[in-house]
Amino acid sequence: MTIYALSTPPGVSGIAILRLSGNNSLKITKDIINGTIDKPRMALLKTFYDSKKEIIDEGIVVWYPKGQSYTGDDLVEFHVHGSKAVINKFLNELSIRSDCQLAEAGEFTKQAFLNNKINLYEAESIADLLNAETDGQRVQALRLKNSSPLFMKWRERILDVRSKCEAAIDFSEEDLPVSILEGNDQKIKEISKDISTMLDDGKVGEIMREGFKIVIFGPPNSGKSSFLNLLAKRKAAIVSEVKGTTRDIIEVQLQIENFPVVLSDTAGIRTAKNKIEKIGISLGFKQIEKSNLNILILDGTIKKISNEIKKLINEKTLIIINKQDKKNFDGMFVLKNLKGKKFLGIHEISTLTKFGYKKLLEDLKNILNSLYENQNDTLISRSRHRTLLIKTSKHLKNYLKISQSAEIEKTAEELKIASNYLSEIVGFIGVEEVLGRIFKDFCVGK
Amino acid sequence: MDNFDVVVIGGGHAGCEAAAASARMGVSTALVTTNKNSIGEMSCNPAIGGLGKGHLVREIDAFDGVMPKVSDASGIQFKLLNASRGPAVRGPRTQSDRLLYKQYMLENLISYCNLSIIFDPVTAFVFEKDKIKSIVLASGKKIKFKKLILTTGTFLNGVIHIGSQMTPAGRFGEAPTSGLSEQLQKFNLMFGRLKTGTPPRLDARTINFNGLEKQEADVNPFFFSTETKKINSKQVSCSITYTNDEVHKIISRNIKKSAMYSGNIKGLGPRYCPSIEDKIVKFADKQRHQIFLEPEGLNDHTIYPNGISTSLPEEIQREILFNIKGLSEVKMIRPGYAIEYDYVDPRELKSTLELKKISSFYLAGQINGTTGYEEAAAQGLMAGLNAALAVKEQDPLILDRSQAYIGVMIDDLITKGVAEPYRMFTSRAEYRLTLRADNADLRLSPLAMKIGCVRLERCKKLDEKIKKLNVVKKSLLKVSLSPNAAKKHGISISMDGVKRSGIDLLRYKNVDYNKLKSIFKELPDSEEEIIRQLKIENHYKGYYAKQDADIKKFKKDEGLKIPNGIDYDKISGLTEEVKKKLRLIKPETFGQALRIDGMTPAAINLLLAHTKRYKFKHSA
Repeated sequence: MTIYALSTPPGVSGIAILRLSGNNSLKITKDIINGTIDKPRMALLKTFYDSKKEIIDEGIVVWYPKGQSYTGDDLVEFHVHGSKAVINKFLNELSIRSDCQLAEAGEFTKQAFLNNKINLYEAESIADLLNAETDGQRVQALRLKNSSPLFMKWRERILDVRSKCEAAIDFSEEDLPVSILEGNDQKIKEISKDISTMLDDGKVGEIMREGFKIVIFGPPNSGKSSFLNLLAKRKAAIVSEVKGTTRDIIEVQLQIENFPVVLSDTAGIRTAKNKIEKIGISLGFKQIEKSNLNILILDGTIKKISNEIKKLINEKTLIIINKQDKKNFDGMFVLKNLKGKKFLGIHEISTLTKFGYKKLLEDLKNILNSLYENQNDTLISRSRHRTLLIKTSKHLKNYLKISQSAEIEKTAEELKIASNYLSEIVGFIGVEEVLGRIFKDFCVGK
Repeated sequence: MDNFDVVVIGGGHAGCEAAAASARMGVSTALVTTNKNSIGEMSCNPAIGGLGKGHLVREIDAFDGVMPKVSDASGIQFKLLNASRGPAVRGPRTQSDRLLYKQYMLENLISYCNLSIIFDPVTAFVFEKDKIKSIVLASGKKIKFKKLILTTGTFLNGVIHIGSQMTPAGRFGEAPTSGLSEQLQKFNLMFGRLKTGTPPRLDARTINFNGLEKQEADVNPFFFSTETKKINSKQVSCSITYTNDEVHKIISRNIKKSAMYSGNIKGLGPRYCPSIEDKIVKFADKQRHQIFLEPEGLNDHTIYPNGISTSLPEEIQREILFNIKGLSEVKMIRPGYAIEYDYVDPRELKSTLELKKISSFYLAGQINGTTGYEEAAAQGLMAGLNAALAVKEQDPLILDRSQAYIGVMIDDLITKGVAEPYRMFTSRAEYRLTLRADNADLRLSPLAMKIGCVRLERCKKLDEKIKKLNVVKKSLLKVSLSPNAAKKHGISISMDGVKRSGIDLLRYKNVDYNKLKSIFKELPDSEEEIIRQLKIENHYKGYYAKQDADIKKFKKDEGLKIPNGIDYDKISGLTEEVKKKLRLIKPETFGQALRIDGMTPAAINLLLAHTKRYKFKHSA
């Protein structure tokens, strides 16, 4: 199967790159350039023709030969002028051919995976790379790709321990080293610790993929929706003077300092009389629990802070005292009211005059940056990986729990289950591999 | 011209089991082999069973097979391997008296009234298009049949290597089978070449056993057949000696003279059964290698020195032996050798062990790339049963990976092929905790009874056993004790306030069934065997839920049949490599397709999509 696709974003640009990959790509290229490519991995200036031998464009063609290309198949890149007309003409030319077809999303990567150019883990992180909408996400995807050696190390270790266990079971009669099982527990302990560390990353990996979740909460009419609109630079929430305007959760996706952020506006917290409003408020509570950062918006002209709100303030709360433009604004009084409470920081702003807004934005950027910098080099960006690692870890812990007391076939079973879960990230550990390791490491065979 | 329903060629372990299975199914059967002496011959070490292998023999017993009974009757050193470990990984094994084994095997086969044994070598196959119809024997006699099972072991173009000397042979002193291989090749079957080896044989009367370690038989043997209740033959011990530095030096000095290292041998040998040359070369830092001196029989002075299989020249073999403790004056009865032989790529087989390319033609045993008597017998059993079922126009009997080690083995063979002689290990079984030697009869005998290959009296006994198990289990589940109550009866369990059922209580030390009976008068009388079985079942309780879930998932894929006659070339998107494998293996189910090496989820999805379309087209 030969596939093609436009590899640069659609739209007008200086140049656009089209990729063609598969067994027929050289033959198709021959037709297009009306000649042959004699050197691989060399940028060649060529004229591109359509089926009627009329010129489409002039540009660069590069051939990455089979086995040495991204997909592992013969891959040809066409660098053409990035005008809509040229790109459409080119794609049209390819689409009428019967020997190639338009690639589906991620199909180049899939091909690379099928040709063993990359492992499943890499394939997924490359898919993330392709989907990365912001720079922050792109860096994260690269890190994930580079972290795959750690996963490979775990795989290697588990394979090692498993082969020793299985050797002790299947070759118990042989002259195996007496100490064959020694050190196994230590190795599993280390992997288990590594996995725990990785799992305990404050879910940064997922944050980077799914967006940093900020929840805005506060008493009614304190300006939550105005603040959201200010950050989002558009009117996402309906703003009015009437208390209880926001009943559903409003979610806005935006970008702060190259970080994807999901901003949710919640209904104002008050003793609601209306049933629907009540539901809105309780939804808000749930959002607050799940978020990465909560922004509490208070009205600087109102001196009382309800207990419901005070209860919600914690270390991940950033407090904003709004309506600094009002005459009866008293930030200090609000601050006194919060004595004894721990929170992330406090700002005085006005959503109307944008007073203090710049400083607040700086603070938000710092929070996001520090979150990212404090992280390990290895992050788990897919919830699927996280789930699998949790399961792997669970069975490794089971192994450690019983390794000293239970029979070896039970410990071997726990290891097998753990390695099967890990396999779903880094590739299957089959019995042949386990046996291969045994025969390599131990002289068995009477 | 003689006429049979099923004809089996070969009197080795696969052949005997196949012929007996077919005969048990009630169809007229003939076993054709060269001579009486070759029936049930143990050409390598004189032992049956072991880890994984013992499981296979127990499973054969569930189908009322012959190997388990004969091994028990001829057993001279019963030993349950891994006895200190859990029941799932315990493997029964016995040393058997070689002559007694052959004698009991022949007696057993003769007892089948619908089984004829013909001593006359086969010289030719007669085909009709792609179907086997009859065979021609050396005497000129022709035999017609409905189904044929070929079990020629290492005899297809076998060549024995001793040093640089090469002799065409099937076993030591026996001519190979040639000509048949060529006839099969016309059907474009894929053949491969494998190698295996055997050590020299020694005269026990010239060995000084003083000062050698001893391995004794178990006091309470675990038998292969549930029918066997007591030991039939005298029990003997094995001695253990070791190689040493001097021996290693001799081997290193002469390594080029070994057929293995001179380049004469092209076939691949098993990694788990290396020659002594391989051991010295690959594990140079190992100080010594153990050698089990195994007696071949009670009235036989032959000793099988297990651990020093070799293809060095005869005089070097002697030099090696003389330098080993206890063997300084040993008489070598015959030298060790390596043997190379043809095998048929088992991916040519259906799961019934019938060839895909030749109808009515079944293969079983070493010819399919396996090693070991037990692996051979298990295939013989399945080929015999399926040939007979086909004669009777009944559904085939396919065991899957969740049901039996036999299922694991056949699936591995027909899906993955072999790169070295295939041997069973417990680690090959995904569902190891449920596929145990102790429950082989419970797992498989109901199936065996359904197809009718178990004698009536055994059926009755099994029904009774299952009934008893259920009764006792139910009663034990009904009774329970709180930790406090248990303490009053002198049973100490942790005071967590959790009640323990009768079955759980059996897990505690100093609790046995009699003790429980004294507490709960309502418990029925029961035999020790039943209680032991219940205790084992309960032992892996924590793992059943996950294993059952896995098996359910597995069965779902296994239940998705791939229709016959799919043209894999028409599926766009499959890589050439995957297409090639699918064309060769022709998986019968999606589960099997998934297990093909190099198969990807993407490829499976394409296959699934195509099959749906295919079915639609063909039903339209």
